Amino acid sequence: MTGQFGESGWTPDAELLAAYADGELEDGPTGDLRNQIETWLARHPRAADKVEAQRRVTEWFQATTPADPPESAWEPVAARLQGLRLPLPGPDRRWSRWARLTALGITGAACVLLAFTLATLLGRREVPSWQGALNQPRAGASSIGPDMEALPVATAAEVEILSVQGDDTATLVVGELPLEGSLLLLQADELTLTAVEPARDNMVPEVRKGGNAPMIWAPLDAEREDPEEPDQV
Amino acid sequence: MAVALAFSPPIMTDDELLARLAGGDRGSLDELFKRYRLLAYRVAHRLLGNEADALDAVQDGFVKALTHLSGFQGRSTFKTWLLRVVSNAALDLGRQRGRREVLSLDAVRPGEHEHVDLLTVENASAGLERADMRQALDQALAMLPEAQRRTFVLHADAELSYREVAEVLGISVGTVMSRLYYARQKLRVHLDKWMKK
Repeated sequence: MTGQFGESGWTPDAELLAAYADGELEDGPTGDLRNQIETWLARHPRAADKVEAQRRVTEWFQATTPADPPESAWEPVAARLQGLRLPLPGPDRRWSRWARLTALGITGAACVLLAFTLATLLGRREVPSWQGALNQPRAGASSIGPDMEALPVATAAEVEILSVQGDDTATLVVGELPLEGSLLLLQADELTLTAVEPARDNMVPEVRKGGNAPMIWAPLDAEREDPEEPDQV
Repeated sequence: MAVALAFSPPIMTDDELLARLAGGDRGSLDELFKRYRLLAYRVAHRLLGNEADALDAVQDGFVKALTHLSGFQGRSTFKTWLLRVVSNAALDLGRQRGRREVLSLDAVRPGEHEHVDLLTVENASAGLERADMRQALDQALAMLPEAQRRTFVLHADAELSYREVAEVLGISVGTVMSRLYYARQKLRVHLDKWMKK
């Protein structure tokens, strides 16, 4: 980016003239270029005016540089910096990078191992069947054994059931909606239904307890979290 | 005749200070802060338009720079790396606070911003004129695209060379030249009234 050659000879680019105005061509090998530009500007006074205008814009900005803040303004900033816990790099940055890469590799391997282990364990617990049963409650999930531990599905803070529609009504054994409290996933034979009471709107929910479909169960006592024994609804 | 000689300790380079900091010398942190806080402040102030935000940006920038020193690979100078972080922090803060819109309204507070002694009668007129000029400059600057604005501020206020600006922004010197040229072209249009005075 130096200039163009035309009928009237060499013409420096506008950016190059700006660089000249900024004093960027002062030293070293650019000195010759600077001399060329000065010679050219001497023959082109209008261009020289433009260069001067460029220089003035920068000078104006520099003349209105914000005043330095008082020393007291720096004190809280300095205190904050002194309070920092610094992960200091030191001169052996390459070692720390190696250490980071090694740690990253170990972490990655651990994650893969953990994922594999979890997949194996969850596979034993037939979680996919559980999920399938939720989607297709009547299809059953016969592979869930009677000795399977009932696990909390969600906490009260995580779930708010506002409505239940269609076939899901048979899967969800509940009191009144919105449902609050921890939800448990139980096998049908882990529940004993003693009564079904009408809701506030006097509608009696249809509860089909049959087959092997697991049921999402909400304890009547929301405080109760122990799913050890079969409960009554 | 007695001659008193004052010895000042040799000035350490940034690399030396960083090495000492790495060794746990907190005094080096203070020295680095004092060395670059004003430069950082001037850039942040020009990008944000007021003292309080500029101080916040400087603090954010220093905190980020110091807590991510491992990211400083020594390919640039500490000064240009720090200014990159600080100007990033200033632009982030400006975006958060919608500073560009506020800038023009906030810019003229001569007592806070200007190198002007308004207490003397002789300087009052010149001071007010300079305050007006400052407002005009800030308004014109706010009109520029962010990339041009940042490039211009690093060059004009931080007084960085083209090569240093290129280092801060991670762009070529040619791009710096181009941005500065177009930035000044636009600034000249906005400042036409002042240019003719």
